[in-house]
Amino acid sequence: MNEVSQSSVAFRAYVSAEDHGRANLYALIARLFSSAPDSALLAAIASAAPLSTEDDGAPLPMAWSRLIAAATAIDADAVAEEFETLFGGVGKARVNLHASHHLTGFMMEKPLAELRDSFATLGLSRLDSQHATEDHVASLCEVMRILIIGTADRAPVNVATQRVFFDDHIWPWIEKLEVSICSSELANFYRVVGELVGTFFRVERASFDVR
Amino acid sequence: MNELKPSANLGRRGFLLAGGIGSVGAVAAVVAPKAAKVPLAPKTTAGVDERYVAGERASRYYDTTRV
Repeated sequence: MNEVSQSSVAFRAYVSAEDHGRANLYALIARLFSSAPDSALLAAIASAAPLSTEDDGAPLPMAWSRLIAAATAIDADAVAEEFETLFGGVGKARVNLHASHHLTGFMMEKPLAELRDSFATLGLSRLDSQHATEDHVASLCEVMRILIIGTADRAPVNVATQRVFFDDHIWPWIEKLEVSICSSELANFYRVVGELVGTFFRVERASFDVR
Repeated sequence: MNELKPSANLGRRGFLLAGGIGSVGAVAAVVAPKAAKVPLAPKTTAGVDERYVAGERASRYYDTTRV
């Protein structure tokens, strides 16, 4: 009888389809706020199918359909200009993408220090090559993606831990960001992105209360 | 717009799926890899406590401020 070495058998943590879906949405939102989408990404979004669910008229699929329509109508150069106009220049951006700014009115304040403590607890840190601070919305979304599905060398965390990170570092300010983007008269494509972000995070918040 | 109120008899998985997470996320899976990875991705430093610890010089300074 063949013996199987224990070290040769490894199981990856099970991640459900809906958690993969959440992680993918976090990845997309992180990507859209790290830099303007290029033409390939816009084309991919534009070619995505509209969605239907058991609950017709559910806010998230509707917001997704509006993103598809926006990606179909706009070109990459226009989005790049809009991105630079809205988010360009740390400290002088029309719309600031950092938690600390929205919570305190200033950059690199207490919320950033608390976030760094959470990073340390979770065993995470900013890449050395990265200049943006950890409280940038794209960074926070990337952390959520990693917490949900893990990476090659770290397992996903449970929903309770995801909830704590979300409630401590995302939920207190994300709707302020949504309002900031959607009320800007300079926002066009990103107004639709902002609506998707707000809708998705409200679904997230509500889902954490469901047992 | 629909209210996002959790139903007592709808589990978390059901709530997410009914809200469209599953289908939207499946499409996002096709979309997201089309572009470069997000450069803000944190690296893992499991087991390393990176919280601020005052160094010797800082500790000496704090000693001078005691009353």
